[in-house]
Amino acid sequence: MTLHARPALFLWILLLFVSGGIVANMTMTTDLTALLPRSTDHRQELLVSQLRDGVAARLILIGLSGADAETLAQASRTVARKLRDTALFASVNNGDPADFTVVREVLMRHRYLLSSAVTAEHFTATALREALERQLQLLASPAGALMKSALPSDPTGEVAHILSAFAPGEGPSMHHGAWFSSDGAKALLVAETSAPGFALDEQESAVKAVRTAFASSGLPESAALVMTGPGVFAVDSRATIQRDSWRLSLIAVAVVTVLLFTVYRSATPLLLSLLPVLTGLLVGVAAVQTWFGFVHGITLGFGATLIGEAVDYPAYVFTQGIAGERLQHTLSRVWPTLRLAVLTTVFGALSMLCSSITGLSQLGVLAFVGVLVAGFVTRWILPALPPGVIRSAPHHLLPVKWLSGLASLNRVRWIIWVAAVLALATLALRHDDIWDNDLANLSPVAASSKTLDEQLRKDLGAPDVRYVLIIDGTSKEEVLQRSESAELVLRRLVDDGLLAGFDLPSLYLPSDKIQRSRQASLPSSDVLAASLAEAVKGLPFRAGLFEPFLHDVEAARTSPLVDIVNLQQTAFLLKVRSLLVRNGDAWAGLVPLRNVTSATALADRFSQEVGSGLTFLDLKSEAGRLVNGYRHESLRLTALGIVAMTGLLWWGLRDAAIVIRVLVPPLLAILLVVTLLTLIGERLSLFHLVSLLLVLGVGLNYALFFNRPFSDEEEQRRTWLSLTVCMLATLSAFGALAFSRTPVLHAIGLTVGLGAAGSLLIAAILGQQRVSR
Amino acid sequence: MILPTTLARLVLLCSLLSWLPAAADPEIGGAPFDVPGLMELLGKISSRQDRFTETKTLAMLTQPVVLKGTLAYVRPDRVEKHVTSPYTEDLLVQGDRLTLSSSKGTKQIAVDSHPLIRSFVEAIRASLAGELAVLRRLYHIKFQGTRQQWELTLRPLDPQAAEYLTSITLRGEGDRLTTVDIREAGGDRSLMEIDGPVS
Repeated sequence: MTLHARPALFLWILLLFVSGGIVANMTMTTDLTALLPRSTDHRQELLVSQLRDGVAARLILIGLSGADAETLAQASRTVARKLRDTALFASVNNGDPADFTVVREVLMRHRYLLSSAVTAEHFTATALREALERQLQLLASPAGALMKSALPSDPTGEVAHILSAFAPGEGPSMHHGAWFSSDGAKALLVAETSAPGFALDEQESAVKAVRTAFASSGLPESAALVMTGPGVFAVDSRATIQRDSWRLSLIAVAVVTVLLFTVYRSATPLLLSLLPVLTGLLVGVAAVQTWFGFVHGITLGFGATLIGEAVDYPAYVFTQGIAGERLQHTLSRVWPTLRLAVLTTVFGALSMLCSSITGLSQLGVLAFVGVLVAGFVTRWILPALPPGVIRSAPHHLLPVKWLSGLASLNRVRWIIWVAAVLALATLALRHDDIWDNDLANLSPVAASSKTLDEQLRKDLGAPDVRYVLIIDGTSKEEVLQRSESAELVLRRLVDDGLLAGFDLPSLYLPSDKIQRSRQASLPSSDVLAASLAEAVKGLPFRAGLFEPFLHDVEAARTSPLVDIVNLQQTAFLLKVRSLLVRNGDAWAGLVPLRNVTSATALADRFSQEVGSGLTFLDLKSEAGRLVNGYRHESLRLTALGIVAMTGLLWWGLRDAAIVIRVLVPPLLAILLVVTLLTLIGERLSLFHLVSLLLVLGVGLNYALFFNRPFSDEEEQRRTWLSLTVCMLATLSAFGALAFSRTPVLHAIGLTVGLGAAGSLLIAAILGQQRVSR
Repeated sequence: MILPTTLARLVLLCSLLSWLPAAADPEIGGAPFDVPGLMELLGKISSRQDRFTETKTLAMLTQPVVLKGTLAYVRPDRVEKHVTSPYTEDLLVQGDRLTLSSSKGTKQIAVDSHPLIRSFVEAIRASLAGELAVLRRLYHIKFQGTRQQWELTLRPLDPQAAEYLTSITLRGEGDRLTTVDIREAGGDRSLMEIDGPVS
């Protein structure tokens, strides 16, 4: 053990302890939106915050099927009751008429403030007479049995008027007192979790509670349960990713272990090989936790990928060893090249670290710290640990001549260049097909689940909207007033056929101003009594029947105004809270627009006709803009990273020709991989982009070692062995990922596997080994 | 000595005569008249269309409301009730859909969306279709009378329906429906008298 090994060992152990302590207490999140940038655009901020913890992000849509409608309706009531008992849900709705009576009571209590029909003219003798005649007809109709109890208090039909304004579209179908899908096969429920959508552990408990309630709902064996919603998807994908990555990691580890054991023929170097990457991962994660205060699940998954390159570092050392040589000595030969390999990756990570996208900058920190630490462990810790000596030369079982074979193909080098030109031409032709702009595709949700979700939403009459109008305001009152003035414009636009319908926060909760004016228009009790007496003349209503009406109008004249808290735990409150949201100090109203026929025409009319504080938004293109923004930034930073790497290579190699020879193979490999992915119809997402960064790092390492000067034939053979081992290790580890059903893991596996193999092949074909002087 | 014999014969004859009309029924119907018999009888009529007068007596009103119109049935699941006076209103049940159209507009709803609606509709539809199984599932059934004059009283089993609806009584003569008598909770009553087929 050399003298300077002691402080290095001490530092290493200290690092392990401190990082271990931080990682043991780290905050882990799996919320996708936590990875999104701290946006300066308040619309995007609103979008992201709604994605994070808006009402829509808390909903679980539930479908029960596989029995006759009456049994399903009964089960729907049982499930709803059991879910309400768990306290995990803020509300559970299944269309039960019993719940509707609560809504009716709330509306009844506040009808003269909530109904848009309330004006001074509404209570004149003439208007009352018309209303009473209408009620008489209703009383004699089949609906009479149901409505007659409300007649004495509400002869002007305010509750019916409010309800008709609420439900402009068709609600879900009702059978046997429960909501059903339009084909009548599924009983439907909508549950809102108490916990926000991003709190995955709570979402998981909620999902489990639904399963438990279903299992004990008394449905036959043949019955089936389906669930969708942001929380359900997040919980599912977490489970899938964990299961997939465990399985695939085990396969990868097994394959790599067999490979390395074949080469080293000893367990010691195998175990030592793990130290740099594991230390790097531990310290890297601790650094992310310290820097950001939380670690994202995806950072962890990708991070392991990004610093996976560090598995190669000890491999470069051990495969270069000569039997009986001290490891220290082997390292001194390899280190100049290995140092460049480590530093290029660190510089690449540095560019990501500067990203404004939390996800990318977490990855940057993890890769930066992790790779640096892995390099440190390889250089100073491995030789300090026993045995410190290469016991036997690595086994030359693997055929390595193929590399020299390729290298002798120098004359066919032009093929590579032709391929590169063709690839560029292809990309230029299909530049629209390269990138994936759909934010939804970043989520690892299977397409079948998305379709099911769309179907359930459609059946519930709550389709996912693409176009919304956003109403900004400094107070709730301002938002509501703006919402009220937008109503007229929107009605005109509906009449003009530009859209089929809309929803407005003020439809459910009028502004204080409107409520006050309605209050002021209510007549005093003696005036109203006189008008009523005149209106009822000649109609067969029993005397004194409408006393409750006179009493309620008088009470409404002085009642407190309606606020959100008065709406109680009803589906109605859910609606208000999803349309009217608090956004920091400010408030915002969301106006979903249904079946927009021409977005451009609508945008034009909005800009001409609506006042300030209203913005027309295309959620799909806005989300696309968001993703675009990330990509542009990532690409810019990657370009910067490549410039920094080039500078670094120049500093290390001092030879422009070699710098080019080192840089070109990974860049060409990336070009070919991107072209190949485009040709097979895979659109590139952020996941591919991150994977390409790894390809760049790994590819540069190959090219660096490939272009390393060697002193004799033996050293050349050793280098070929190093490269073959490293490439096979990367290919097997990431090849396994490519078989994953999870889009994320699949993208990473395919990109890195192809890229790594391509880099080495191209480096071999283009490279000319130098004999050191 | 002849007299007592003659008397005895007369008594016998009288009793025979009085017995004769009663015996005529089983000879035609084949069995004593009961609910299944009524169902079989009604089930034979594939369509009908009659004029009606409906008198609604409500506690809230000082005098009854009288509606006039037509009631039609087409096997197996179409019922139409058209009110023509004092205002127009059309109610159509086709399968599971109930459509109510009036001067104010059209409303559609599923028959089984509320137990009350189902109880109202099936009392007419299932009875006219002769679907005894449906009636047994939804109502407590009481039956009395003869083939010439029968009375079928249906009380909803569902508590949500029973909250509003006490009973629906159908009266008829042979395969002809003569009245539909609906009694609501709270004493309100609607008596629909079938005046005869639309000519």
